[in-house]
This record gives sequence, C-alpha cells and structure tokens, in this order.
Amino acid sequence: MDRNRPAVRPGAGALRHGLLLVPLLFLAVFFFYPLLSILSVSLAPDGQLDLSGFAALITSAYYRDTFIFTLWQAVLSTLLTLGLALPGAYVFTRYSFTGRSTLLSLAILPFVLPTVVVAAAFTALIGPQGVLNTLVMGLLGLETPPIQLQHTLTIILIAHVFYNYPLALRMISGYWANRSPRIEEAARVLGCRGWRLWWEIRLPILRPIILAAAALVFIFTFTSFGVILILGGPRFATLEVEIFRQAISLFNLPMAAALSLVQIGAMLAMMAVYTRLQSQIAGELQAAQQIARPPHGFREKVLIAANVGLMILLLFLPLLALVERSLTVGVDGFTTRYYQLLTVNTRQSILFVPPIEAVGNSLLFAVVTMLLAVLLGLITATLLAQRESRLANWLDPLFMLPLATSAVTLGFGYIIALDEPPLNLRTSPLLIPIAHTLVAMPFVVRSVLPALRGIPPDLREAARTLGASPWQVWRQIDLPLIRRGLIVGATFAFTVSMGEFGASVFVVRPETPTMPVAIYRLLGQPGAANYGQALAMSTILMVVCAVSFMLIERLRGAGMGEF
Amino acid sequence: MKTRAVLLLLIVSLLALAPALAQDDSVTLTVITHDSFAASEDVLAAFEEDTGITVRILRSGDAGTMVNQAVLSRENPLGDVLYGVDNTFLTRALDADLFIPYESPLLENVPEEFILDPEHRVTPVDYGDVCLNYDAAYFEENDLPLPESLADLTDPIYDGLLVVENPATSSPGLAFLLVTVDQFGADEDEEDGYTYLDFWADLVENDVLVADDWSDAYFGQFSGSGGDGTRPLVVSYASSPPAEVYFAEEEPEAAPTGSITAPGTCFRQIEFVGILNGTEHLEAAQQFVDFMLSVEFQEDMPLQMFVFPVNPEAELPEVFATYAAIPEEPVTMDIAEIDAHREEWIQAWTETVLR
Amino acid sequence: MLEIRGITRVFGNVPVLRGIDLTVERGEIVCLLGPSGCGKTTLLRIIAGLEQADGGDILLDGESIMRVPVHERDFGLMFQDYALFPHMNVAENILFGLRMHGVPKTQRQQRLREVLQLVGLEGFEHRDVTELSGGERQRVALARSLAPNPRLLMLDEPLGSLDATLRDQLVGELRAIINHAGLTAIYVTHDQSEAFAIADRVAIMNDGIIEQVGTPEVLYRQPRTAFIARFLGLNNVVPVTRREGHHVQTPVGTFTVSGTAAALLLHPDGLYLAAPDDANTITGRVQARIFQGNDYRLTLQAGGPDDGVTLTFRLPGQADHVPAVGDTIAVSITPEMVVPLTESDQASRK
Repeated sequence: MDRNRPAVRPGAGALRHGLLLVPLLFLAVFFFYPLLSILSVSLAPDGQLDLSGFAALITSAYYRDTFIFTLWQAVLSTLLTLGLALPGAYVFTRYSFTGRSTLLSLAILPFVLPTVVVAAAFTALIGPQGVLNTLVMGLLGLETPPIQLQHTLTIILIAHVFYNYPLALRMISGYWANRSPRIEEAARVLGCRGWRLWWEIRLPILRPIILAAAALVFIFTFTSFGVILILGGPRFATLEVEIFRQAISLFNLPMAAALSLVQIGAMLAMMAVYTRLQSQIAGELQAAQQIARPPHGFREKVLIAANVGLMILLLFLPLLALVERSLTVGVDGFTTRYYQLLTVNTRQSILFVPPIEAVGNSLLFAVVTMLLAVLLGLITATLLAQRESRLANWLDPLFMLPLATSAVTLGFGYIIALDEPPLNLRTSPLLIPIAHTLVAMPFVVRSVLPALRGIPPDLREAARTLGASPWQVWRQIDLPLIRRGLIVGATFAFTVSMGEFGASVFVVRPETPTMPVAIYRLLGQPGAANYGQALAMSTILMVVCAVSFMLIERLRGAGMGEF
Repeated sequence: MKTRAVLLLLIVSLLALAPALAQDDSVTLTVITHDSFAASEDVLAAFEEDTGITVRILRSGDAGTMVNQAVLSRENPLGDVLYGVDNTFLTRALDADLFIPYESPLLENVPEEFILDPEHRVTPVDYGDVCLNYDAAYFEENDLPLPESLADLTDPIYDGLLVVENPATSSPGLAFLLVTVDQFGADEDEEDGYTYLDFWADLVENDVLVADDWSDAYFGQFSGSGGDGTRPLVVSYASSPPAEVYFAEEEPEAAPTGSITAPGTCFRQIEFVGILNGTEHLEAAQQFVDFMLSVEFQEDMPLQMFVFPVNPEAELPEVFATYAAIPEEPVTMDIAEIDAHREEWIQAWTETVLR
Repeated sequence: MLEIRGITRVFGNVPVLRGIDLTVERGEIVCLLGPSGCGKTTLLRIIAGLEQADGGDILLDGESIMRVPVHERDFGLMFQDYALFPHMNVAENILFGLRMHGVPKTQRQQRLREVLQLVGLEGFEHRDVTELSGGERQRVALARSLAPNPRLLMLDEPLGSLDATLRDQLVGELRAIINHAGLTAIYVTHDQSEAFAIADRVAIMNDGIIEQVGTPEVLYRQPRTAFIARFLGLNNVVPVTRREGHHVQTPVGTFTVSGTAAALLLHPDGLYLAAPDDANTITGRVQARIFQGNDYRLTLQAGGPDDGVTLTFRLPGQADHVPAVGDTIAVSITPEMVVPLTESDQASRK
C-alpha cells in the first residue's frame, strides 16, 4: 500500500506527532504524574494496597446517595442551563439590537466571582431580608419572607445557571453565527416551522456545540464545590465536597482517593458517551452578518426582551447588588470609603495587598494562562480534529480530566510529586499559571474543536492547490475561521485564571496575591470594613474583567469581517 | 503582525514572572503558615534587621490543610518553620513527627496551661476563644435576655436565631462541637443520659442553621456585622467584637456585637509554632521562635490576627482591653482525646444535625 | 506536457481507478466526462496531489510529480462548490495564491486587475463573497485559480450548481478565458454538452477506466463502446445476434461493417424515412413523436416481438409528411452511419 505513496507532505506526520507531544507532555508532568503520585500514596501508603475506601464506598448508603445527588444536580443544572441558553443564543445570533455585543461580552462576568461573594449577592437580592422579599412583603403585607431559598436545591440550581449560562450562551452563539442559514431557509420553504424547526433543523445543526457546551457544564456542576458548600449548605454534598472533607478535615486519604477515582471514572464514562454522540454533521461555514438582522414586529421584540430580561435578572442583577452593597455596607447612604480603604495599609500589615498590585498579579497570571491555554489548546484541538485519527477519541477525554479532578487531590499530588529539582515548583509562582492552564485548556479545546471540525475540507484543499504550505493553510484558513470559537475559549481561559478556579490546588500561595486572594483575606476577618472592602475588591475584579473582555474581543481585529 | 504581537506579549509576561523566580543566597527562613497569618511590616523588618535573616512567609490554606500538607511533604518540607497548628490538629502533626524539639528561653513567662507538649516540639504563640457572638442591637430591640449557658440555646425564645459552622469543614465549628461534647458528654451511660447529640438534636428542633465556613456564617448569616444575614447569634471568637469596633466605618459608641463568655460556653484554641524536621537553618528557626514569643511580636498579634498573646508581659491594645471579654472558664480538652474521637464525633454530629 | 501512466486507486476493497493512461498536451483543454462515481474527481484530485495513488505515475514535462507536495505543484484547481474563503473578500480570495507564492504587492495588484477584467468582475474587489450570486462566485473561483498562472488548470464540475441558461452562457466564456490565458486545462464534468462545448479532447470514463479519448466530433461519430454511445445520448444500440465476416445480423436486419462488433450503433443522424424503392429498410411502429422546433424526434419500435429495439431519429421540421404515433413506417440508414461497437474493456477490469 505504502510502496508508492507520495510524500505529499514530507515529514508532516512526524511533525504532527511531535507537536502532539507538547500538550501531552504538559499534561503528563503537571497532571498525571502528581495525580498518580497522590493516588498511589493514598491507596498504598506502606507499599500495600489499601482498598478500604472502596469497600466503604460500596457498602455505604451515604456515599451512594452522595453520588446520586452529585449526578442528579449536575444533570438538572445542565438541562436547565442549556434550556435557557439556547433561546438566548438564538436571539443573540439572529437579531441585531443595541447593546448586543456588550451584553454578550459582559455575560461572562459571573464566571470570575468567588462563590462567597456570589452568595453575598444572592443574599442581598433574595435573602430573607433581601430586596425581593422586602418588596413582596411590603406589597402583600406579609409577615414572613415568601422566598425561602437558603440551603435548598433551588438555590444551587440558580447559582449553577448563574455561573454556566454565560458559558453555554457564548459557546453556542459563537458557533451558530458561523453556520449557514440556508439549510434553515430551505426547511422553512418546505413548511417546517415552530418546534419542528428546532427539533429537526436547528438542534441537529448545533449538535456538536450543544454537546460540547453540555459536556463542560456537566463536568463543572458535577464537580461543583463552592456553590454546594456555601449556597447549598452542609446538608448537600457532592463528591467534590466529600473529597475535600475526607482529605482536609478527616485526613482520610484512602477514602479521598477512592472518591476521586469514582469522580474521574464517572467523568470518563460521560466523555465516552459524549464522544459517541459527537458526530460530524457540521453545516457550511458562513460569514455572520448574513444572519443577524434587526427584529421585525412585536413577537420578535418580545422574544429579545424576554431573553435580555432573563440575562439581566439572572446575571446582572446579582452583580449590581454587589456593586450597590460595596457602596452601602455599614453606613446610611453611599460611601466610597471602602474603595479608599483598599489602598491604605491601616495596620502596616505585611500582608496588605495594594489593589494595583493585586490587579497586576491577576492580570499577569491571567494573560500567561490565556496564552499558554490557547497555544496548547489550539495544538490539541488541531490534532483532535483530524477525524481519521482513532487516537483522537482516546486522547480527547484525557484533556478534559483536569476539569474533573478534585482540586484538593491534585494539590496534594503537587506536594508529593513536584518536590525535587528541576520540578520543585511547589512554592514557585510559575505553578499558578500552570495549574490555571490545566483547567483553562479544556475550554479552549471545547470551543475550538467543533468549529475546526466544521471547516469544509475543500477550503483547505483549495488553499493547498493555491500554494499554501500546511502551516500556511492552518494560519490562513483554519485560524481565521475558528477565530470566533478561539476568542470564546481565550476569554474563558482568561476568566478561569482571574477567578482562581481550583485555587486549592496550590500547596502554598506564593507571595503574589491576586484579587480573589485579597477578597478571601478580607473575608477572613470580622468587621464591616473588611466586608465592605471585600465587596469593593470584587467590584474592581468585575470591572477589570469587563475591560479585559472588551480588549480580547478586539483581538478579533479589523478587516476580518464577522469572523 | 498579530502573531508577533502575541509572541511579544508572551515573552514580556514571562519576563515579568522571572524576578519572582530569582533566588538569592542569604539566609532565607521560610515560614509555612495558614491563610489567617498576619504581622506588621515594621515588627518583622526589625527582626530581619537584627538577625540578618530574610523571612519568607508562605501561606497554605486553612489550618487543617496546612497541617495535612506538612504531613504529606515531611520527606521534603516546604519550609523551616510551621506556625498555626492548633490544639485540635496538634496530635496529627506530632504523630507525623514533623517537628524538632526546641525549648525557647522565653517560655519561662508563658503560663503552664498553654504548654501542651512537654517535649517542646511545638511552642505556644497565641490563643483565641471560640465563643458565641451576638448582635447587640437585635437583643436590645427585642428585649431578649442573652443566653447564659449552652442549654439556654435550646429555649424556644432563641428559636431560629443561631448560626453555627460545620465542624467537618470549619475550625470554629469543630471547636464549638468540642465544647458541647465537653459540657454534655459523649457517653450515654452517664447518669442523666443526655449527651451532646441530644443537645444538638434539641438545637435542630430550635432551627439552628449550619453554615459551611466562618466567612459565610459571619458575613452571610449573622446579622451583627456588615452582611445581610438575619441570625443574631453566631459561633465566632471572643476577639470578634473588638474587631467589629476596630473595623467599623466610624467609631461606634458601643460595640455592635458582643461575645458570651459564660463558663462552659467557649473553647480555647491555642496556636503553636514548630521547627520543621529537615530544616537547614536550625539556628535561624530557633531565633524566629524566640521572636514570636517576644513582647514586640506578641503585642503586634492582637490587631493583626485578632488573637491573644500567650506572653503575659505583652500588653493588649486599647480596643481589646475595652471590648474583648476573656472567658473565665473556657473549655480545654486533652489533645490526645480530641485526636482519638474527632472523626467519630463529627460523624455522629453529621448524622444528627444534617440528616 | 502531462502524462498519466497506469494510475490505480483503491478505497477499501473497491477499486476506483484501474489503470488510467492519459496525455494532455500544452495549451489543450481535456475533459474528463463520465457519470458520477466513475472516478473522474478522484483522478483529478490525484493529479492535484490532494489524494494519493496506489500505483502508477504522473509526469509533467517528463518528470514525475508524484513526490511533489500539493502546494509546490503550481496547479490551479477550481472546486465544484468553489470553496471560496468565506472570511476573505473577492480581492483577498483572488490574491491568495499570489500571496502564498510571495509575489510582491504591486505585481499582485496588477494581476488582480488583469484577472478581474478577464472574468468580467471589475469593481467587485471589495465585495464579500457571501453576497455574490452563483455566477459571480463561479467567476471569482475561476479568477482565483487563474491568478497565479498555474502550469495546469483543473476544473471540477465548475458549472455543476448553476442553472442551465447560465451554464450555456458561462461555458463559452470559460473556454474563451482559458484559451485567452493560454492555459492547459483538465475539466471534469458529467454533462456531455458542456464537455463538447469546452474541450479540445474528451476522455470518457466509466467505472475507473478511460473508455475512449478523442475530439468531440470523433466521439460523437465513432463511439467505441455501447456505454459511450448511450452516455452521449446515442441510444440506437442494437445487439448483434450473429456474425459472418463483415456481415452482422441484428434484430432489425443484417449490416456490413469493418472490424468486429459486439453491437451496432445505428447513428440517429444516419436514419431517414425510406423512399418507397429502398432496399434494406427497417420497419417499425412510431411510438412517440416530439416536435422540437427545428425537427421532429421520432421513436420507433422495430424488430420482432422477442428481440425488439427502440430507434430514435429526426425528421426536418418542415418535412412534407410526418408519420403519426401508431403509424407503421420504414426507415433506411446511410451505411457509413452504422457504427460497430466493442464491449467495454473487460480485460483490464480484473
């Protein structure tokens, strides 16, 4: 067979595999090696396998219930998030209206906020003495607050939608904007309308990205930690919470390891299903401005208003509540005092973090994370997109694993694995962007891969016959065409780092405090001023992120049309 | 063009990280501590100046996380000194053989009750009492008497007023659980048969709210501080009321919160420092331990970390003297006993309160 | 200039190309004509280097190009659906190849003007390709593949997705443009009239082999096999029942031909209504009569009840007497219009 096979791309295969090694190596060193180290230490502390954790898992009704609850709330959250995000994505893809792009880029803001702060915002809004309850009680003359969501499944779901709606919205609308509207037009001409249009045309066209978004949301909520702990309260526990409890409070490492493995196993099973469902029915790529148009008529305007209203209610109202509280805590009327206090080291503490420094550190880590994640994620996605590769089906879930791995487990792994030069990174600031990149990379891969697979192959072939080398094809055709997905992925990578996802990965926090670290420090001590400053710092975090998102959007560049 | 810009950005940001990576060769003493650690710049600078030692502070999660990480990394420790292990986690650290014994000359001044390890593998630095805090305004407005014992908390007049922390995830939560164990006993065969679990069952009857960490309990649920909470009773520290005054936007006439310091309602947490086995700077480490017991550091602590000094020569700052109540008979418990039963008590508590 | 030797290609177990030999001369337009699935697009992609042959060789000016990567072949390929880059405007699409070849900017602009003029799209430079009509897109695609002055231009069903009127108009233009540019071209289509309109020579492909290569005239007048005859719309193929030297017997009579024949084509252009005194007439019943303006198209059922054949022929539109459906008539055929057909080339199949 190969005897006469022309070397159409000399050395291309070797190069391709060489490149694949880069992200794989990264994953091996900074993920698998620490993970396997901690698992082996936990499960075989004295060289002898201790499977008591698993035995407890199987026999205990408590762990079974925990697993079922973890799965159940993740499924509910995923369905709810997608159910709300799909109409949103439709509105943002199909209609042009004032403030559309601003809304879309600001929609990621919830992603950066620490859970404690979000919980505070929710309490300010829908807590027993929150705005909403006070309003309703005043209107209806009620004695007790009618909305009692504290420590309920409902508030967990609301918070999960709050965090994940933007993710699904951005991913889906980014993909949708580049799909050809012709298929849908054809279907309409043939009399397809209403729900059938959704069911038979739109959903199949969007299937790759819906699945990708669903996979991410599912993993996120499956491993939910802060939301469950703080908003759900102690009565609810996911596997992630239980792992934390076992590892930190009880120091029961065999149990923690067993639970970690269950969590990873469940994730792998889910990814297997995902990969099977993920078929390659990508529609034709199209420039985006063809699709978006101003709304006509009452119904369309109502549709837009409903979706934008939902976003405002769900996403921006809590954020606004935060800003408002940062200006009103502990005083009558308004004060900017907490913002001023942030810059004053009242106690001459060595741990005082000037806001500029925190902003600087956060931005630095976020930019490095974004670049690393985009670089590694692009390489990964490019290789995974080569359909003929069966290897891709095996490799794909591996790159998702860091998202599904308990931060505590991995953090302990770092302690025992990365303790010798040249990898003694336990106390190095480099570990921060590295750990962030592990979590951020799946976002880039998931946002880019469907777009990459959707590029009609003859575009690449056309470029090749016109004299483009493989590198040039990638640079001139693939890259511009996946730009939209890439921007989404990059934004999330940036955001992941800004919001310090999985912060407990860090063995020790090097002397480079970031904004979330500053917020946690402020919330660690009593006093209204600390609380006020924490909210002020959260507001600054949001503003810095909002500005950054707009700048990232600009990377799209002029002259690129709507791509 | 754009590729070049991105590459440039990458290089610049890596360069920006570089200084942080640079090592310098003078004696650098690495202190591992928890997230709550704080100290004044000039106090620490004076120590560095006097000794020529550079102090590097590495924070590593909460107290429990810090101890666990230290245990895991004992073969290849992350630093020279570990500060912040308290009596609830002490046994775990001692059993793992983390520390080198050192008897500081300054221990002479320290009351016996704080020295829990006769071998001096750890040295007490400070203590704090976990006590019930109350929202002063609420109790005044509602003309409600303050609870005077734990048993009072089960009185229906306090229905729905208390928020506590989960002992499985929070250190004050664990401390409060230990108080109840100490007060009501864990042994069912005792004469009255009323155990700490019965007490907790009664608290659940009385609609106690459990939060998972101190920040959420204090800022999210408690009504006395800056947050939007609704519960006027919270498990916090005896030092929280002075902190409320100290961190108030304008100095209040009276403290907005107070702590209940009645006998048998508070738990005394003692924090220790120890020299990590495997340090290459033993002498510097010992100097640092001495420094932590010195009057300068001991007097600096209260307003930095809101704890009380173990060195009786240290004077308390005014806000502490005025607003902090020191409990007369705080609960203490044998560290070996804590370690032996911690899991069992937490587990039983979880069964009773959360399910 | 281009010499294709024994190219084979197998997909899985299915042989798609079974030894293709073809030569294309400089400045010539050769058309690969065949039904879908005959392997013509695969052959084109192998020539372009987009796909790899399992066997055989391709020589350009005497040198094998099998090991030359696609992007170094300097061939132009125009895709069936044009494959215009959706993220580039008209000018950027057209200039892509020149940019890849490192042509300086001033020369690029010069060439852009030339090519736009050639395809008649002046003033379209900054238009978005998604705003263009089908015909305009086709011109942009052509301009894009012409711009770098390819050594060989390949066009894969370039008019396939256009409507008939537009196609007729464009096919002429296309030929003029290619000739004007002095290009050598390979043109793939399944449409006979398109092939005849554009090609200097046509290679008819069937099931992975080339059955015949020739000018449109030769193919039309002297199709070599029954497949080719039928594919060209020459359906009057009658089976040979017996053969005696140059005399072959068919259900509609005996004919004299040179060479061997598996079947005969009674070329429609050679059939005419028999004069009353004609010998060797074929008798049959008129099944259908279609008026086509210039002429009538008559379909005749001839031969016996068991081995009947259908013959089609044309009558001038102004004919005095036009038989009606149901009439039994006699037709004659000009002897040189009886074309002997061979079997499709079975030998090379297995």
